[in-house]
Amino acid sequence: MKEVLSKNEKEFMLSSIQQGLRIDGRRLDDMRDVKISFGKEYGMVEVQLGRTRVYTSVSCEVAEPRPERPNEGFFVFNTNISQMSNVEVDIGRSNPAELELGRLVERGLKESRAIDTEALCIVAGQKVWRIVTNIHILDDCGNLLDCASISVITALLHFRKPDVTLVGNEATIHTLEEREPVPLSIHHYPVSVTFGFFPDSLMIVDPDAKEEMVIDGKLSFLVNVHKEICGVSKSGGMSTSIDQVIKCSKMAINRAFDITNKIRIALHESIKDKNSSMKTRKKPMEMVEYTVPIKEEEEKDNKQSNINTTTTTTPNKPTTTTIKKTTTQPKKQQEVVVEKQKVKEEKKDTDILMKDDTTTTTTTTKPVAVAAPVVVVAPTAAAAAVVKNQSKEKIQIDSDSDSEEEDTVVLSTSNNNNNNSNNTTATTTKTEAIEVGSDDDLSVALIKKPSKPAAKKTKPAAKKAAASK
Amino acid sequence: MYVLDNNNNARRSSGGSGRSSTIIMLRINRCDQQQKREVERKKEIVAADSVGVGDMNTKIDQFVVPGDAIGQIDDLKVRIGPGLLQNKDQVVASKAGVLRFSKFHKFYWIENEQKRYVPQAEDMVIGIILEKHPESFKVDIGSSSPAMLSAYSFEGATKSNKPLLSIGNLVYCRVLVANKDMEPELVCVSIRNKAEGFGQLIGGYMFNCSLGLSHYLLSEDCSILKIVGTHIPYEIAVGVNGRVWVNSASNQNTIITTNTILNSQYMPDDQIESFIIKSLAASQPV
Repeated sequence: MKEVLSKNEKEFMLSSIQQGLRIDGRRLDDMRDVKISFGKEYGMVEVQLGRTRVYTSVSCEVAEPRPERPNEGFFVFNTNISQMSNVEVDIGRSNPAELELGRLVERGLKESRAIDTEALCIVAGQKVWRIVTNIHILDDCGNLLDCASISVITALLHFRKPDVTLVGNEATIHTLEEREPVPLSIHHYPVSVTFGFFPDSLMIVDPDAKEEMVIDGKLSFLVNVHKEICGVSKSGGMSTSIDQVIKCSKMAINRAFDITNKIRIALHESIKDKNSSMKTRKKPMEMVEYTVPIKEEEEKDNKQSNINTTTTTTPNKPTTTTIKKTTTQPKKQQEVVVEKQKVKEEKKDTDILMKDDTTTTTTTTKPVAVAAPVVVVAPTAAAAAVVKNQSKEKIQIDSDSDSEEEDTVVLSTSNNNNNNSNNTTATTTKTEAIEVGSDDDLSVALIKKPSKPAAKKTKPAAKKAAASK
Repeated sequence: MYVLDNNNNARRSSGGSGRSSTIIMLRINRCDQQQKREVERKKEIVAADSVGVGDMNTKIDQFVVPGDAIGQIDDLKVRIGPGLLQNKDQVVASKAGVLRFSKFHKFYWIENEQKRYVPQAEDMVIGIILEKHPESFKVDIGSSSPAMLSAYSFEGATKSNKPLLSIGNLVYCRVLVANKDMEPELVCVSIRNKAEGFGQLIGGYMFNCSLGLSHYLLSEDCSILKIVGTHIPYEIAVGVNGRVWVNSASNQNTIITTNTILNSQYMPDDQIESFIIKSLAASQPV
């Protein structure tokens, strides 16, 4: 059975959107409230986005690795849209939405290298962990993807697998009572933010079920706190302007900040609760992942967000100053585009707009670009060094920042022709493939000024170090 | 839960968890009558339990689960509605929810937060035209199968003068036939063969709500609609299939009305007025 929408509703919604109103009283760029609640076991999370509810449970088992990849574990994602979630769900028929949703969430996490399969190895070639994530859609009131992505990442962060000790070639898996279970290694948290498009280039954030039936098309960004776009998915046949895509990506980054903070706070609370409820235990649960770094990270986040606000809100000021200096430049020199070699198409879309400006302003912006990371890197690197007290990481961070500076010097002027050709092919479901290897590759593409990447780079490095420790 | 005090920004009104049990509890709490009768009822419950099955009135406004014997019908003019089954002279609950009774209509039903509408004769529902046939329309009323609406079942409709309805239009109609194994039949006239409000709904906005809320909106102790009316002039058509159509002078007012009605299940009556005032104030351009 199909959910039907009457003409009256459609017309009313369209005319309201044109007046800047939405049915549920939100503004056009408002998200619905996110509520995160945890189950009794590790990795059981229920996320509510407005009335959309997604429950995710994570479990693990020991499995044999594939012979071609002897030291990699598995992440398995199962999606199940409950028949109670929506009128449209048919019993006994596979739901294409189910598949699409699972695939998007899975690819967003795997191909952005947020989850690490190599860390799941117990004995190479013999035993590895297999992490099974079951996504249950309990209530579908629109924007399933966003809700599912929040739910999955939170569940993976909340999940603990049993501790393993290796003696020679023999592995002992300790029960939860024997030893504190260990968290999975998750490098960054990609969160999906969805936009709905209406005619006359109107757009809304987080469309609900009814809005989803009226909109021309959707555009979802998988973004993490480091301002990296880990994936883009566009459905519906509408065409979007480059301006819109850029605007969306910026908004997505801001939303991702809020959501990630919410996830962190919720995780922190749940672990606190668990500790307080397990006072009878000898040792309190390890809070390596969340408690200690949270403060640093929050500080960093604050710093970042400060940087953020300065860069996003005040691009006009610096440009005006540059204009004063150069006086011959055109008005729109809003941002410096830093581009790595592996940037993919949809990133290039964003670059396209800027490229004309950058080509003209390379001379003026270069010194700024180089100067910025030096200023920012120093405090963050120092802070990280103080926290970690390990020379190794310091070196790592320094090397990162060095490479960053190199990157900043190389401004994207050469790829313009390629960009144009790539841009003509419409952006459809794409996730960025990232090279395996060093930490640098976590940052896929950067739209903003180099100051943020510099601050950001220290984080995965520190985090990885913490994980390896 | 949704309380205005906790969420001062009245524009952000998309709150409230969808758990039926909590809502039911809230609904029970809200009902003033219940508090008055509480002491009496306790005595009555004891009495009913000792006898076995008592009068149906003893269980009004109480939570019942499927299989509960509600009582016996002593008055033949009583009608039983959603969630109640007649087993010889006994009435048995087939749904979990709160037993309600309308004195005016002499009507018993079980109220819960169900979404799926099960057609019942004499229900007033809002339908969406799905298909157009020469002499009838196929209408979606939220039931498991679409309903049939004859083109002649409008006031004054003849073979040469059929109503002009197109796919996607809204109609306010009455369920004429509702059998388990047949497609439901609708008419757009009252028992007296007059339109009396039935027919096409033009403009406005229709929203979906739980069947419980739509029944509550039609009950005589519902004060929400009156309160809204003192601030915003509006038109409303409530279908017991969980569809409510609202129309007012501006989109903004329609949205406020919609949200007030939807959120009214989560807030006490005395907060509704302040909610409207706040959302009206928020909608005014500064």
